[in-house]
Parts: sequence; C-alpha cells; structure tokens
Amino acid sequence: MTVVSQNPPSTNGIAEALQSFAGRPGAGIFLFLVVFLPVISFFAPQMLQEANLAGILNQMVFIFIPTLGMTIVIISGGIDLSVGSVIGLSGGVAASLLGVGLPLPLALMAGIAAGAAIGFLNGIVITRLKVPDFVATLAMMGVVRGVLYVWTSGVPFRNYMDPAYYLIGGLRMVAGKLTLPVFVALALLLILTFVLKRTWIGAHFRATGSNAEAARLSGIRPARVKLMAYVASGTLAAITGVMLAGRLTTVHPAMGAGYELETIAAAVMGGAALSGGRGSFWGALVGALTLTVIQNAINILNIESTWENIIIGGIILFAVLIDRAAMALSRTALRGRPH
Amino acid sequence: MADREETMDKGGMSRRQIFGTAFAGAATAAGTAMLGSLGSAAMPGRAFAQDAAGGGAPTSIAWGDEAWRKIVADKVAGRTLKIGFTGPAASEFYDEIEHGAFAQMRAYSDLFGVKWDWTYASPQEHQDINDQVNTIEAWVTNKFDAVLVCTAGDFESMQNVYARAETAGTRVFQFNMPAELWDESQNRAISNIGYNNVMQAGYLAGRYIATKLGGKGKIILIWGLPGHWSTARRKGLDIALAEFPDLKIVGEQRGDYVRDKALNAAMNLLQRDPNINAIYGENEEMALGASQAIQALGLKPWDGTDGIITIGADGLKSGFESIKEGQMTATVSVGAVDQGRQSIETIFWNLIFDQVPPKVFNVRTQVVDKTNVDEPLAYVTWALSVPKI
Amino acid sequence: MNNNNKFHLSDLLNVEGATVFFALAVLVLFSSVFAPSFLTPENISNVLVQSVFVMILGIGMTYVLISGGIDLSVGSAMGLAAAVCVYCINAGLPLPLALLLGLATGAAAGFVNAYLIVGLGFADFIATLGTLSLMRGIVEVMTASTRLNSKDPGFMFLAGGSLGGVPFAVLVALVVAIVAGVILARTTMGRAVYGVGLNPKSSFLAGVLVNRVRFSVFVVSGLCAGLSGILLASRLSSVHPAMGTGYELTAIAAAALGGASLSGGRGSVLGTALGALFLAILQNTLSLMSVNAFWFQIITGVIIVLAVLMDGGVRRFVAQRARAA
Repeated sequence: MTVVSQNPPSTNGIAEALQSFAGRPGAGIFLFLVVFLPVISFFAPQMLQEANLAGILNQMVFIFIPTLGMTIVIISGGIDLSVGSVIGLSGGVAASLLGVGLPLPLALMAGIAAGAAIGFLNGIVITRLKVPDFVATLAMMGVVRGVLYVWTSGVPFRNYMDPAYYLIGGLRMVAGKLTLPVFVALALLLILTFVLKRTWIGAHFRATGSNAEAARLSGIRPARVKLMAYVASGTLAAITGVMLAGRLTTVHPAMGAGYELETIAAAVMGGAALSGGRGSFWGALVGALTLTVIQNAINILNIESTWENIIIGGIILFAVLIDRAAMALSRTALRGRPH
Repeated sequence: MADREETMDKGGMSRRQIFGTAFAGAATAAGTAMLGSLGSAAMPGRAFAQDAAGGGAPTSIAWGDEAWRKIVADKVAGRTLKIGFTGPAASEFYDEIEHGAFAQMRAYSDLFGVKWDWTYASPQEHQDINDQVNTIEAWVTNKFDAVLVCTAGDFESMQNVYARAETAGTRVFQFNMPAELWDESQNRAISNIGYNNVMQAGYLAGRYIATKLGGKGKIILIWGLPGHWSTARRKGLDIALAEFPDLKIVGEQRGDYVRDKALNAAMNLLQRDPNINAIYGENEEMALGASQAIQALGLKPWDGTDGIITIGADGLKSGFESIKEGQMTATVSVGAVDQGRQSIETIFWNLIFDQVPPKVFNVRTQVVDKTNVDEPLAYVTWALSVPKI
Repeated sequence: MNNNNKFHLSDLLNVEGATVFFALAVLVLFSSVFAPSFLTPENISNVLVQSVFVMILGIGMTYVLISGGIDLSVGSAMGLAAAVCVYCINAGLPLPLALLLGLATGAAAGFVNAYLIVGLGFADFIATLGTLSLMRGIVEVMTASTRLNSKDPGFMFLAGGSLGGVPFAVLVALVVAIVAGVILARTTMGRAVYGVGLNPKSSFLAGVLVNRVRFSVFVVSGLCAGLSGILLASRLSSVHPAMGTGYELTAIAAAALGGASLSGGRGSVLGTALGALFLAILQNTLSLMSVNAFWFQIITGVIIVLAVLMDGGVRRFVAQRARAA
C-alpha cells in the first residue's frame, strides 16, 4: 500500500530494509511512538502495565475504526467531514430502536445501515451533483447533527442498555483485559487490508486518488470508486457509533462531535496524503494509537489540564515532523544508491 | 353548606373552581402542593395550592383570595408575554430548567389568564457566546418582553447586548450563572436566578466526600471546559477540603462535560492508581461516566462503607436513577426545576407589576444520595411530565 | 467574453460571485416578506455587524484557498490575537500599540503555519490542525491565569461604535474587503495567487515565486484572523478560552458559497464577502422567524449545498456558452 520507488538490488540488507521501511506511510510516527513510550514510562511506569496497554487499545478503537474509513476516502482523493455526525446519528438509531424493543442485532444493523446510507448520499452529492467534497461533507455534518438534535429534542436517549450491549460497547472485558471492540477493529483491519491489497478495489482507489483522469482513461470509473469510498467511510463510522452508544450508555445529541478532525489527524499522521493516492491502514493504526497514547500519557502523568491542547498540538506537529524526516531520509538514501 | 353558598355569591366562581382548574391534566396533587410550598418560601403571599382532595372541602390554605386574583388577572388582561430562553448548550439539565418554567407558566395561565410565547435557542457550536448574542439581538428586534439568558461567558461579555436590550424595552434576566464571581452592581440583568456555585455546589460536594471518608483518602477530579462554572466549583471544593488535610487530590483531568472524554480520563486515572476513594465529576454527565469506568474496570462502587465514591452536580433524572440503582453515589442537585419556576415567577411579577426582584436569587440545592433520592426524583419526574408551552 | 456586442446572460453570470449575489438577493427578498422586523434599520445594522467576523476571516481564507491550500487554525488564531491584545490593554499599553501587537500575533501565527507548510513541507491540513490545538492551548493557559476582560472605551468602540450611522466594525470589514479584493484582482501578486492555485508548475516556469506566494497567503490569513478576533473580543468585551472555535469551517463555507474551490484557482473576495453576508442573514432570518433552534443546522447545510450546486451549474452553463460562441 505504499508509493515508494523500487528497491534496487543491494548487499546491505538491514540498512536497505530500514530505509525502505522509513519511507512507508506512518513509519516515522511509528518510530516516534516506539521512542516516546519508553521515555514516558520512565516518568510513569504504570503506562507500560498490561492493564494500561490494554486500556489504550480499548480506547483507541473508537478513533481507529473511523480512521480506516477516512483513509479509504483520502486515498481515493476525497475527504469526509461528516464522520462525527454519522457516529452520533447511527448510535441514536441503534439506541432508539432498542428503546422500542427491537432485538439488539437488528438495532445495530439498522444503525450501521443508516451510516452506509449517509455515506451513499455523500457520494451521490459529490460524484453526481459535483459538489466539492469538503463542502458537501461539511454540509452533511451539519445536517446529520441537526437531525440528531431534532430527533432527540436536545435530550439524550437513555435506558436502552442490556447485558450484551455492555459487552459490545466495551464496558465489560472479554479476553483478559481486552474488550470486544478491539476484536471488531482487528477483524475490520484484516478484512480491509485483504480487500485493498489483494483485490482490484485497492488499486482502483489508489488510481482514482492519484489521477482521476488517468484512471478513467484506463477504464476505471472514478465516480463509482469514490461512491464506494464514501459508503465505506459512512459504514465504518456507523460501526463506531453503534459501539459507542453501548460504551456511553446514552446517546447525547452531541455524541461524536469533533471526531472528524481527530480522525483526519490520525489518518494523515499515518501517512495518508490529502492529495490522494497514498495511505495505509497500518499507518491509520499508528496514527490512532499515537493520539490515544498522548491522551493516556497526559492523564496518567496528571499533567495540568490547561496544558492539554498545547501538548496535543505540539506532539501532532512533532510526530509529523519526524515522519517527514524519515521519508526524506529514505528518499535521499535510496536515491544515492548506485543502480 | 352556608359557607359554600356564600363564597359562590361573592365572585360567581367557587373557591374550588378557581384552584381546581390549576394544572389541568398536568400535575399530580403532590406536585401542586409543592408548588405552593415553593411559592410560600420564595415570595410569601404569592402562591396558590390546589385543593389536595380535588373536590372536597379545602384542606390546604390558599394564598390571596378571589379579589386579589381578579386584580392580577385584570392587570394581565389576557396579555401574551413573549419570552426568549437561551442556554449555552442543549442538554438534559437545560431541559429540566425549561420544564420547571413550563410548570410555572401553566400555573399562571390558569390563575391569571396570562398567555406565553416561548422561544428556545442554543448555539450551533457548543457554548458559542457570540451566537447567543446574535440571537438576543434578533429577539430584541422582535420586541420580546423578556429574555432569560445563561452563557458560558462572564457578565462582561453580555453587558453590551444587555444595555441595548434595556434601551429597546426587552428586559433581561439571567439564570444558572455563578453570580458570586462578579460584581453584582455591574450586572445589567434585572435578576440572576441561580445558585451559589461556590458554597452551594462545590463546597457541598467536598464536604460530602470528606464526611463519608472520615476526612481521609485520595480523590480524583474530572473537570469540564475551562470557564466560570469550573472556577467557582473549584473554589468551593477547595474551601471544603482545606479543613481536611488528610484528603488528597491525587489526579485531576479534563472531561469537557462530555461522557466519552470523562470515561476515558477516569479509566486512565484509575488505571494509574486503583486505590482511589472518591471521584468528583464537575457535572453529572462526567460523574456518570466515571461511575461506568469503575464498573468497567471491575472496581467497587461505594456501598455505604467501602468502595469508590462518585459524586457529580446537576440533579438530572438520569443521575437520580443511577443513584437509586447504586451506580453513582451522589450528586449535588442544583435546583434545575426550581430555577425554571423561580425565573418565571420573577419575570411575571416584574413585567406585569414592575416589582423589583433581588439582583441575585439563589435557589435551594442539596446533596442527593441513596438515602434521600426519592423526593428529588419524583419532583423532577413530575416537572418533565408538564407539556411544553 | 462574447464576440458580438449583444448582451448575454452569461456575461452577467461570469462575474465573480454572481451566483451568491443572486442567492443573497433571493434570501433578502424572502426575509423581507417572511421575517418580522427584518428590514428595520436596527436589524440591518445588527446583521451587518454579525457578518463581519466570518467575513474578515473568510477573506483571509480566500487567499489561502485560491492558492490551493487550507488553513484550519484561523479560529484559534482569532482567540490568540484577541488574548494578546486584551492582555496588553490591561497591562497599560496604549490602545493602538495593543491592537498592533494583536494583529502581529495573528500574522505571526500565519508565519508559523507558512514555515511548517512551505519551509518544512508539512501537508497544510495537518500543520494547521496542529497549530489549531497549539494556539487554543495557549489561549486556555492565558485565560486561566488572568482575567482577560476590557472595558477600555476605545477598544469597545471597535465593535460597538458607529461613524456616521454605520457601525465601525462594518467600515473595517469594508476597508479590508476593498483592499484585499483590489490586491487579489488587480495586482501581479494577486494574479500570482490564482496562478499558483491553478497550476503551480507553469507558474513556477513563468517566473512566479511560488513558495513566496504560498508563504504570504498564510500570513494574510493569520492577519485577517487576528483582526477578526480583536473585533470579536471587542464585541464581547472579553476573551473566552473557546472563542473562535469552529469559525474556520464557517469561513470556508462562506468562501465556498462565493465560488472558492478547495482545489485552488477559483474564488474572489467579493464572493466570500457576499457568502459571509448570506450566512449571517440566513441565521438572522431563522432567529427572527423563531424557527426551532435545532433546525438551523439542517437548513443551513441544505442551503449551502444548493447554493454551491447552483454555482457549479452556472459555471458549467457559462463554459458551455463560451464554447458555443
């Protein structure tokens, strides 16, 4: 899933491997994380405890899954700002259906279907009506959020929980200290990686994102590809939303607000390029993990709350800096190699 | 018998009829008795109580009499009062305040024939003050009689628009703002109906924790967005905890008033040290999130002698229900319903008769836990059942 | 451009910002009829002032968008510039100096963004996302330690006072719009911005200092954000830690309504200004009509899509006509 020049044959296997690894999307952030964690744990040993690491994974899922969708959209050359609102609405759909007595599996599926439908709508407005994706998804963000407010009348949905939903939302552990959403995320990661790496779909996404005209000339239908990307984004956001509704046990009309920027940050930190054609799911994982680890570190070190945003902003920039440095390093190194 | 005939002759309407029509279909008898008691405490001589039996001989005192009611009704002359209500965000809390207002508005409609034109607004972006200023400007343009305002900004932010409203003839009242933080004389609003965030909320929470823990233990705090509510409650908490040096705050993080962030923060802090004795969530959303974190991590919620205390502040129906189930330990009920009712009382008597309310009117608050949750829960449930205006 | 001298509809529609002007006219007509008190002098004055903050923000954003970039940090820059300005006023500095320092803060924020993006090669989305958090955090730290209110009459005049019946803030916005518009439409620098947005490579070959252009647009954006923030703080006579949150998206919406595209090369100051006016009037109308508050976002979102659709449709129509002519 990378756009890196072919490795020329060489004798220094490890150095080569490292340099080509450094060029992969998200590698720099990964290195940052690998260095960051031990350093921080020097100040707060609890960070590396099994319970905390499991906790990080449990929390990360709710940013990671929508980031998977965002990565797909970004690879195909678009952007989706409505993710946060879809998380809220899909959770609301599931919660209210549960509230009127629908069985849990049906309620969850309905919520996910709602997200897919919104994604489809986004795709139509963008590909058929030719509204630019930023504006279209920005407007959708407002419309979907407004719908949730009108539906809830400003007061959260409540009293829809049952024991199974506690499990699905991740409020009860299933395997050791891990919760169910982690396994859902893992499954999605594996499925999507397989689909995008081994099937034509992935190639089409990347081609459309890099150069839609060229893609069209080679027989790909960019409009259809983009539509699929938005449906995927909406669906993944909805999966997050229905799980989140279980985790929070209420659906507040503002649920999910702000997730879109975090998701984009995670995707871009993970190497997705907003110009399209580039991105990776493992990068998305690293990006989501980084954001969660930062928040975890702030809490565990009990850093004064007023400094929170400064730290987050600073670390995002620092992490991207390292990523860029790593990329630059790998490119110059490879360029310097004799053929 | 003779008695009753006499009353019928006087005003053409029996005493039973007057008071029996109050709260038609909306309130329980218990609720209306409470309405009377609130009024009597707040403004003696200005409240009415429904005949508890609903049909028999009057058993409860009725304040004022038909002559007085008629004077008021004549002054009202069927007028419609146009009120704008704006809070910093849409939430269960502001919904409860609104319902308190609905209850009082209906009562006054039944008694005095006043009509209400009620508009609700909250900003698109959570807590955006400028949005509220824009809304108030529009309401002033539309010649609203009064606006009821609660913002995340301090008094200063709103004084410009209040001054203009005053000049244009729209009266301004504030609710749910920590008036104790500012210079009362600088506030152009006619009255601020709320409660003292320092002593009636933060302080009470601190004392509750201290008392239950016997003055010793480790506490973590989850704060909302930086702003005046946090500042005031922090002050009160500090005052309470200052008397108990063995109570240590070992962690404080932001939850920004939303459940997911508070849940994660609580989980992370508990991960760091599970031997916490109490968690204070600045509002109930966050305290509820903290109580779920405790459960999720398999830790023990407070059962009266042992476990982790979770305490919030707001007085939400969901909070009371959680307390009843034993999940959240306690909360400071800040009188949401009473704020709504008192606001309407203040507005009505000021608009119709130009009576002057106190600049700061603080309603009653209390710490609610499992031992005393039934009354507040019933009260809030009643208020929420009052239909919208 | 038509070869014959007959007047064509497409001539009119080719003017930058034509569709948003049309949409605005329809909206004003609608509001005059259906929104009580819309046309009163008091309301018009109110709405014009209300539009100023997003308008100035949007004008700066337009420069960045035309050059093919994006600046998400303007909301936070508003807060930071306002915080610095009010801090200086409270510290006893004379008002003009405080204002200058506030504006300089905005410009500095722009410099930082520009350096990250043009100097270090960050993607503009992530760079401005990072500075968004960073600056918001600084404002929070500043407001936590000091009360940032000011009743300085000069400061209050900025957003509260009037000159000759016109609110001062509106005059400021007018001046900004005229200056920015003229620079963008009539100077080489302005044309260079369009060139960089449309085709950086050819611009480079044509001798345009592409990097300098990309650098300066972010400084312009920061400067406008600073001005807008100072005006907003004047209106509220205080700096709230969350002030400006979310305004960047509204500014982008205003620019998009005015014809700007996120892929660059299109847009105009006039279009953005009309777009900001449109959004403010829409909000005002809904308030005056006492529309349920929860419906605002839905209505605004739908109308934005319709307006952009119309703009796109008009462009294609004009292009077709030009090809046919």
